[in-house]
Amino acid sequence: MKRVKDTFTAMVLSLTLISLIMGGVLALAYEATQEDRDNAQALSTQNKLKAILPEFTALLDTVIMDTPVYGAYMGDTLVGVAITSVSSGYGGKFKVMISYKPDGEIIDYAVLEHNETPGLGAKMDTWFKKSVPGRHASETFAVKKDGGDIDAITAATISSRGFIKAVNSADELVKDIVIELNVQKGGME
Amino acid sequence: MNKLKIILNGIIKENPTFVLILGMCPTLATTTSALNGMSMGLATTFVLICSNIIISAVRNLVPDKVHIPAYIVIIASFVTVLQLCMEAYLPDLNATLGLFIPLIVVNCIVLGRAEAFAANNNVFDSALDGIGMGLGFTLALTILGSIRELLGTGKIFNFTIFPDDYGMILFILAPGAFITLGLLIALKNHFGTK
Repeated sequence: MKRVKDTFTAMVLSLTLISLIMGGVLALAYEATQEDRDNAQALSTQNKLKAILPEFTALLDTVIMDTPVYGAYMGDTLVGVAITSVSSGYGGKFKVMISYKPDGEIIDYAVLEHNETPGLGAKMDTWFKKSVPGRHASETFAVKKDGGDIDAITAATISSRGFIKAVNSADELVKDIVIELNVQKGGME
Repeated sequence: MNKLKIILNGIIKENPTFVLILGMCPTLATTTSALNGMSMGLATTFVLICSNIIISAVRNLVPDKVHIPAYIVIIASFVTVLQLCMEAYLPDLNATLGLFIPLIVVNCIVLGRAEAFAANNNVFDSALDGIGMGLGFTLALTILGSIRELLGTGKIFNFTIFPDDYGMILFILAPGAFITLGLLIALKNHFGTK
């Protein structure tokens, strides 16, 4: 079969047809994967929450003061909160989730999204586990270079500063969020 | 042409990374670890095979003057399908490779093979060429990723070979990518031109 000639009709027809067919393929793929995509996203957040919060029976997913917040309840008692905090590092914005006891003690944290350099800033997902959890939200953290007492990741000071900034900004909100969550649970019943 | 030859052509004789030096952006950027390199290679392989098959099938229905836009539409669609599937079934990998998955659209290897091979050969041969080129790319990225991960962090595929402390951070960063790739190409040329 010889190739179609460069006539106007042939050009318009072939491009239109190809776009239509590929558009159809895209629509099919979108529909077919939609449910699994939603599930995958929900599952990944859920798993991270389970890892950083104490055992809970009910989870409240809400937004307080423009910040996405998860409240963990054991029965009617608030046992922990997880606060999402956005900051920027070496590779742009990243998102972490920090969990607190209702009295403001930091339990743990999880990195949700980041674009930090692998082997350097990306180590933040485990690096600060030994220095940050167990501290109290009323403290203001800083890396050693800035006069604080947190060990920065070797060769990744910018990522470390970003991370500490994320913790500090979540710290400021804890008190109000805990009050708000205690009220909201009362309102749910 | 011998069918096996088409596959081997992509893996050795015209290896996209070491011989054609195509698709350098993902090659340098995603090979910070062996697993990332291999995943990127396999993702590109999927797009290469699908787009080669479809482009070869429609090659005589597309007039010459509009063949590039037509090919790009086909390639871009498969990349989006790939991304949707990765979001659904491999969310962690998708998060790691991030921007480089959509960027497969502009990967020279994919459009290059469409132009150089699929546009002039039958569907079956084009599929084989896609497999060969894809595997060649995957192999190159896996080797590059393994070397960088080993020298940078002391691990290969996350298995510790020697302690992290002895790792040379340089190899994880961009200069390490250039150094490793340059040495590998030199090695390939040394043995290839004998």
